[in-house]
Amino acid sequence: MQIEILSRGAFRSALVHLEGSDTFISESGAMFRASSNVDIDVTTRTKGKGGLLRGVKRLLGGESFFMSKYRTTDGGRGEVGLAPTLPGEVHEITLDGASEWITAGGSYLGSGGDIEIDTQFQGVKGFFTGESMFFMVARGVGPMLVSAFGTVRELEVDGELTIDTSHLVAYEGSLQYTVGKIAGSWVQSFLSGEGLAIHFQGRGRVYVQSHAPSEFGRRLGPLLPQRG
Amino acid sequence: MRHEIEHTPSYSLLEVTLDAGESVVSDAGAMAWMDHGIDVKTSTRGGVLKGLKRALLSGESFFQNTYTARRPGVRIGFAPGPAGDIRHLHLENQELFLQKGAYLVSSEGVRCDAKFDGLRGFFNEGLFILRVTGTGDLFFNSFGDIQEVEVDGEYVVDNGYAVAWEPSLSYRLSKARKIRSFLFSDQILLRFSGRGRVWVQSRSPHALASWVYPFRPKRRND
Repeated sequence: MQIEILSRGAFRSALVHLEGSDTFISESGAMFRASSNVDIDVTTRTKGKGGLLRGVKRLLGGESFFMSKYRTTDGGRGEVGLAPTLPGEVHEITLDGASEWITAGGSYLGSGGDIEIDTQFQGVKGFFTGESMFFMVARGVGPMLVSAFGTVRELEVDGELTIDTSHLVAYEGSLQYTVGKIAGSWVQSFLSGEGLAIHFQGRGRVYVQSHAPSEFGRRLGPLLPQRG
Repeated sequence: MRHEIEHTPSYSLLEVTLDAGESVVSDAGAMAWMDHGIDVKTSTRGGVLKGLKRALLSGESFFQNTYTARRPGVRIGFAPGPAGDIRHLHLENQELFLQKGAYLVSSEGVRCDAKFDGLRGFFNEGLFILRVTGTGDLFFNSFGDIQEVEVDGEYVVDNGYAVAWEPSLSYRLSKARKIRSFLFSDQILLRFSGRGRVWVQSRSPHALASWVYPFRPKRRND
C-alpha cells in the first residue's frame, strides 16, 4: 500500500494505492474518487471485535455510525481518493505498533486495514465549552491519515506542552495529558476565550492545526438563517 | 489571446491579455479587474431562450459578458466565486460537459448551453448540466483542487465531485452497496465508463454547507 498526498495547496487530499489484499478504512463519505475495481463496504468495525458498540460510540462522538472499507475486488491494483470537508492539509502518520496514536474526532480521515480504531470519550469537562472531546484511538501497524483545517505544525514534546483542544489534530500515545483550564482560574479561562487546554507531559509528537474548525463554525453559523 | 492562471491551486485567478479587436467571454460576475480600453457587452449569447435555459436550468448566469479590446495588450483578471482551481482546455470543434457552475471564461468560438441530463441528474446537481462546444479556449473552475483522471474502462467519482468530462465517457449513477445503501443513505456514485478524461474536484460546497449547518442559531419560540 502506498499513499500519495495530492496537491500542494489549501485543498489537499490523499490517493491510496491498494494492491493485492490491502484494505483501507475511512470515515464514511470521505471517498471522492476510486478506480472501478475497488469495493466499498459499509462497516461498523475496523479491526477487532465490538462492531455495533463502536458504531454507537462514534455516533456519540459526532462521527458517523458507519465507516467505509475499501479493497480491490480482483486482487490487482486499485486506488481510492479521500478528502476532508474543510480546506486544509492531509498528513500521513505511520504507526509502528510501539505506541498508539490519538486523533481529535474531526481530524481522522482514514487508516490501513491492520489498524484498529476505537472512539474514546474524554470526560464531561468537554461539555463546558461545547468542544468535541471524543478522540479516535488508533492501534496497530500501518498508515493513518489525518486532516487539518489550515496547515499542520508537528511539535516534538520533551517535557511539557499546552495546546488549545480545538487546535489538536493528533498525538502520540506515549504522552500523558490532563485536560484543564488555560488561565489561573475558570473565570479567567472563560474570559480568555481560549476554551479548554490539553497539558501534555512526557515525550512524543503532537500535530496541531493552524485554525480551529469550531471557531470557524461559530463565525459562520450566526450569519445563516435559524434552524427550526 | 494570451492567458496565465495564477496562484493555483488554492486561490486561482485567470489573467488574459487581448490584442486589439480580440474578444473573450465570461460568466457574468467573473471579472475582477480590467485595464482601460476594453468594451464590455452584456448579452444572452444565442438568444433569450438560451440565456434562460442557462440561468434557470444550469445555475449559470442569464447574461454573459463579452470583453473586446480597443487597443493591444490590455489585461483582464477573472476570479471564480469559490476558492480553488481553474483549468484551461483548448477545444478544436469539440464538446465537453461541465458541472453546473463550473464555466468561467471562454473565447468567442466556444458556446455554453444547458443540457438535459435525464432523471439521473435528479440525484446529482439538478436535472441539467452544461454543454460546451466549439473551437477556442475554455476555462473552468471548482471549489478545491481539480484533478485530471484518464479513464480507460471504468472510474468512480462521488456524486457532486465531477467538474468536467469528455463526451466519449458515459456515466450512470450507482450506490456503494445496494441494500445497505438504501437503509443507511450511503454515498451515491457516478460510474464513468469508456475512454476519456474526467476532472474531479477535491472539496464539495455541499459538504461544507452541511458541516456549517449545526452551527446555525436555533429558532426561538416567541
